[in-house]
Amino acid sequence: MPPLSELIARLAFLTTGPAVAGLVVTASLIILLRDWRTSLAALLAQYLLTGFLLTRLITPEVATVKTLVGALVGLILYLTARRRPWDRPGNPYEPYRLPPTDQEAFPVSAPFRLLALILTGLVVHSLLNSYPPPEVPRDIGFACYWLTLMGLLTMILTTGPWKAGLGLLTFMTGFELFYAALESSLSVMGFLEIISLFMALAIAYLVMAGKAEGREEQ
Amino acid sequence: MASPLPLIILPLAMAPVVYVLGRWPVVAFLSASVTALATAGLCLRLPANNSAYVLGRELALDHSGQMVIVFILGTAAILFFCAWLTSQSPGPPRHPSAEPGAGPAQERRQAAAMSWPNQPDTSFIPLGLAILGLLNGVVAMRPFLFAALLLEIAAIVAVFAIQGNRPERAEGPGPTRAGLKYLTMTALALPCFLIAAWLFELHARYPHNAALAEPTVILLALGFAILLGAVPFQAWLPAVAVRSPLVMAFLIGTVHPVLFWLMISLLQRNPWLMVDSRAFQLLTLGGLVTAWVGGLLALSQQDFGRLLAYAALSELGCILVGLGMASTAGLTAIALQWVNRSLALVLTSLGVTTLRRYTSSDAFANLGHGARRMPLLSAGLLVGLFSLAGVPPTGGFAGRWPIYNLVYKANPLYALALALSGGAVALGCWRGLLALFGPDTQPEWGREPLPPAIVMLILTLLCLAWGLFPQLLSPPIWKWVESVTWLGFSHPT
Repeated sequence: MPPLSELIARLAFLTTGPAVAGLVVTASLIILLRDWRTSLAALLAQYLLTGFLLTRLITPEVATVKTLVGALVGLILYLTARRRPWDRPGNPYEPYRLPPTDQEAFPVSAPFRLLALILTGLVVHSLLNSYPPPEVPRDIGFACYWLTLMGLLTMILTTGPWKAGLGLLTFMTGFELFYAALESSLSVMGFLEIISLFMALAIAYLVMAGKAEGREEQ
Repeated sequence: MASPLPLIILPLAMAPVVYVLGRWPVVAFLSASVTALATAGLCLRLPANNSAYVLGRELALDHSGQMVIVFILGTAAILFFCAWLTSQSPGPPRHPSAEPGAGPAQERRQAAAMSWPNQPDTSFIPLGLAILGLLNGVVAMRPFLFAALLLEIAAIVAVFAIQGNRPERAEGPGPTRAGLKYLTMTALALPCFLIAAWLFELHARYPHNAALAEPTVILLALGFAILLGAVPFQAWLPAVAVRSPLVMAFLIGTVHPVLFWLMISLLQRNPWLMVDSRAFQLLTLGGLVTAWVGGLLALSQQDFGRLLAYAALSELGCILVGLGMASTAGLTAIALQWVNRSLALVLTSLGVTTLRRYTSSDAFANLGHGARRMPLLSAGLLVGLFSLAGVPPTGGFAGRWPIYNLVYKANPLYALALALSGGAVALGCWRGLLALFGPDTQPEWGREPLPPAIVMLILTLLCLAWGLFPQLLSPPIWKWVESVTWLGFSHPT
């Protein structure tokens, strides 16, 4: 197996445009799709792509640790989602939809979410030109704004812990991408990763509490 | 070991022990309270400004920090006792006239009374200990960056305490809404603090760069406003109050003093922030808006849980305005207000929790005849709420009056606005009072449970005593204000 530095050198093409494009797609999938498996896969891909971008700002070893923590967050959420009875036993070909407790804050159809996404994209473009984030290259600045605003939009559009939790983690990923350029201290990075894990646990706990509620109602 | 480290480690280490002891509530409560009080005693014995280093970061406590830690630990110990007390008090008793076969409607009401939120949840006791350990760390940690990170971890732990170990009720504030709102709000504050900490570092490198003050002040104001739950970030307050009044009282009674202390110590350690007078303008205006919105919303509430939340919001606005006056007298008044506020919050949250435990709800419509059947509980509840509104002769008035005077000197209209917000909260309480004296809606309930009623009586008398003799609290408060050097101390008249 090649060493980490060689692996990163081989995948260097992913640390620029493709990673940013990938982040645009993953954050959009989280906001547009209601299927929990696709959303979770998008979140995991998001952590991986952020890891690639981070190799331009911090040492590859630290970026790898951040990606691994992202994988742990994904694992926590996957195990939680598997225990939640939202996989309808009826038609196995039906997509796995959000449970009744994970409804949107107000009725929003897919076209509405798409429109909101496009408008947020315009806001990101405008912000990037007016207030470019300091200390980071322009493409990474775009990714930071995109992820944070998409995370916020996801949190605004939903009241349920699952979707809002994914939005919160997306928001934090965008912020950490920006903050990695400002603060390179390992202890700060460590604290931020602990916070990410705690957040994932809190989201998982809230999702399971919703499940308990569903059982009680039955 | 004369360093602040044990103040962090002791509560954190005891949290899992108390969790395991949860099977025996009295042992768990006693362990938690003893831990909180022992940590407070340890804090008082620590020599001031004795440093320790963890991961190369300095931990040290000055006198003002010590007093804040002792204050929050004392508040927490009382709240742990209240949580245990409400979990021990009997459920809704049947009135002698209510026959066993009185009908399905009455049985349903009895069953509802025993379900959430009437069943008190003591799971917050071990989590509360963990939060206390982290808050002690926030106070002791010298670099602001790490204090902010610890604060965020404490906020995430608080989400577990808010949710408790009970499912949501269908007619509640929505599934898991309270915990989720708190989690998202506190997460939004973290970036503000971390970028502000980076700006502090930049200022250390370029001390003559005056342009750094403005973004730092704005980011700090935003971060503190989000964490304090000031308007427009107050969404979590009523949700948590409906979910668990005791947890709300715990969060406000412990996290808010630490946040205010952090704010004051930041201004003390970074006098360059005060070059931009916007910091105090933001505090004053934000406080006024918070007080007004809190007052207006309190006026329109239909239950005691939400009324408590909005009364606390209005009180928060008053404290922010007091801090915005940037004077020794203002600081003395807000310190007095902290003490009274914590007492009023403990009193009111104990009242609401007992009311929910004992009757089917805390909604005004269901509490007719409550004042006659539960006189001590009703009196305590109303004195607590009137204290939050600043109505004489309660303790809240003693804290609010100096703030009104100070604000009047700066701008009479602001003082009028503050007084009106307090009046709106008082009117909301008046509506609650009328409901408690209203026609009998639940003839099946018997008399109030004695242990919580006695505790409420003691707290009510304390609340009134501090209103009538506020000078009893003056010596420790002056000693605390003396340590805030950026104002230039002089004994307020």
